[in-house]
Amino acid sequence: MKIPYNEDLRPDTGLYNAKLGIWLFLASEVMLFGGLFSAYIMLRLSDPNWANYGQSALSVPLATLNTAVLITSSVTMVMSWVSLKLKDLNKYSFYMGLTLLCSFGFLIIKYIEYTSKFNHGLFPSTNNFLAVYFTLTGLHAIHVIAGILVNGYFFGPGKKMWNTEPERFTNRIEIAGLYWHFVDLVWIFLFPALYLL
Amino acid sequence: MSSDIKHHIKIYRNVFIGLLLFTGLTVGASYINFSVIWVGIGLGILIAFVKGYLVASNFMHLNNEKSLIYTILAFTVLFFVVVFFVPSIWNTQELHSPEHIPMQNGEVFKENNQQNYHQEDGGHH
Repeated sequence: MKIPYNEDLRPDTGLYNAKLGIWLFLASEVMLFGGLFSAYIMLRLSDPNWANYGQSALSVPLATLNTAVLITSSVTMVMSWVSLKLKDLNKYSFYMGLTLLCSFGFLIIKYIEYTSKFNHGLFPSTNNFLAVYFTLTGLHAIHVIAGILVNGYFFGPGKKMWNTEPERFTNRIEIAGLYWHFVDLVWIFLFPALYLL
Repeated sequence: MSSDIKHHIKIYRNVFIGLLLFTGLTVGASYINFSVIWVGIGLGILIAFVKGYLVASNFMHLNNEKSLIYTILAFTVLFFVVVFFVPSIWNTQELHSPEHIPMQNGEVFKENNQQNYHQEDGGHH
């Protein structure tokens, strides 16, 4: 039996089901990161010695590079969806491949950052700032890994759906894209909050 | 359809350039020594919101979405404000009064630390 409203829009919502589902999921994600941001601000305002806890040890150039990499991946992700709208599967594979490359690039840069901190004896247990830093960036990195798994599936075995249900496959990429742009959006706020301000 | 999508591609390219420029602006602004620290923080947050708006409205297509999505997001914003600000209001007395939160070397001073201290002090009770 075919699951309804994978491609057609529901008359009552005006959306296909997966789109409503991903927005509800993203709403819950906003609450998750919102709670952690709130905790960060509370801890920061409560402690006059906050500036001495290693924020200056964070690498702004590496984080700036990571921001550029993630923004680029957002553009390539939306371009992969556009390519499917233009019925060009080769271009889709090209842009999705670039998105995956950027995602791995982001994680490699993050790994370099983390390793540098650990080598200097800076751990989540060292102080509250580093606890917040590792929690927020670590949770974000887990989201990047989840995005890689989903996008990797659509880059590889999941792509064969294009041959049988192209409309549904295009919708799937739109959903994966919404998640990926949200991951980018979170980083846009994490970057100044943790590294610059 | 095709010309419409090509128009969107142009927008995505412009948004991409805009996001990179705003990222440079955020980094540049962080090196300016503002006389009032909150001006620098406010500027950084403002730029982040502009970048967030560009991503949400263009890449996530929120500039042209169904009303149900906006309703979900309105509730999300409401609950986000509660999660974000209510703890601050609740603890207004403690804010800027660190003596209410016993901190030591960047960590909340734990009760068992105090017990250890008393034991080391010679107490056998």
